[in-house]
Amino acid sequence: MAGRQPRSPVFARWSDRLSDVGVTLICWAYFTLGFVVFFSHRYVFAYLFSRQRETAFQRLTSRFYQGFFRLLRCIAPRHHWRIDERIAGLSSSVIVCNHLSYLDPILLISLLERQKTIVKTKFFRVPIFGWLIRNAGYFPADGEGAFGGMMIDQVGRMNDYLAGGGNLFVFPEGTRSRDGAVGPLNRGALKIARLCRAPIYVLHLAGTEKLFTPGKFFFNTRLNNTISLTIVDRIDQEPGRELSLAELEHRIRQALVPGDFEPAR
Amino acid sequence: MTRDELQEKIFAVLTEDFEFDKPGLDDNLRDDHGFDSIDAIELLGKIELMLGFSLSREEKEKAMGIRTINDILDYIERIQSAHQS
Repeated sequence: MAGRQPRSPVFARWSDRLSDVGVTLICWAYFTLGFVVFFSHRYVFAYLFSRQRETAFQRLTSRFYQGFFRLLRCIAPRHHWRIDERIAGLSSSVIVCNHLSYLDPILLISLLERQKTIVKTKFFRVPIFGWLIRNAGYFPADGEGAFGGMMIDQVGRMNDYLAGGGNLFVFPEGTRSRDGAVGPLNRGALKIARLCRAPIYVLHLAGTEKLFTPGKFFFNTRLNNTISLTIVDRIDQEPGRELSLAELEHRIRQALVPGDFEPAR
Repeated sequence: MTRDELQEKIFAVLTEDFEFDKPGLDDNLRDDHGFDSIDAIELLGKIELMLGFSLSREEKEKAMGIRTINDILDYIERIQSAHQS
């Protein structure tokens, strides 16, 4: 019996590219049409009628991204997902995580039904998206100017939010790593974590940058890759024995990069 | 509280709670000490304790533009006199 003919390199290259383009188009279709058809009316309903609008918006956003990742797992099957099952059960916690790809925040949103995070201030001005994140109670990264009042409100309500089961997740590097290494930690995010006096969970993420690489427009569907998200430490802040910022930074870096004790500044 | 008393208390808060190293009255808080909006909000809580009354949201928003320790002292003096009048 004759064996299968190997694919020609040109055919293989084009079929791989078509796969990347197809997956990217399907993902964008989900983000646009999927939002309009399946979610926009639910957000409007929550805005108009929900007594707990923030919670409703957070839950809807989590569901939207759960749908996105279900779809992505189907259409990019070479990427395998190993997500620590304990993460979905986290509540009343501050979560810090390394940052590799634009997929990271939406992955965390999909896993956490009650979630807030810090978003670049310019995104609050984007139509629809700005409205969504404002109503979900997300933080602007900078409290200057028109956003000062919003930040004061959000920080003022943070203790009640956490006590009520909500989570705050932050990426203390502030931006995506371009080489996979954990960069210098932004103390602003750590200050919020410390101010909240809630347990801090440190999560280590790997592999999302291979699926959606910084600087690239198309998803990379061709690699056999494992995306993993794991809890690597829990830091408790006991009243009267709060960690200094330097201690907190040291502890988080140690958890994310075992053996690397000096922050690279 | 006189300005000197306020200054002493603010210096103590900034060095003990905000880990400032040798703060100067006209240092740029953001550039020289990494003081950001979150710090400003935390400092407002400490100022409320110092003054013994709560600040309104409008008063708090005015504090978000503070740049130096002298600005902090001016801000507290303005708040104090507004609450006394």
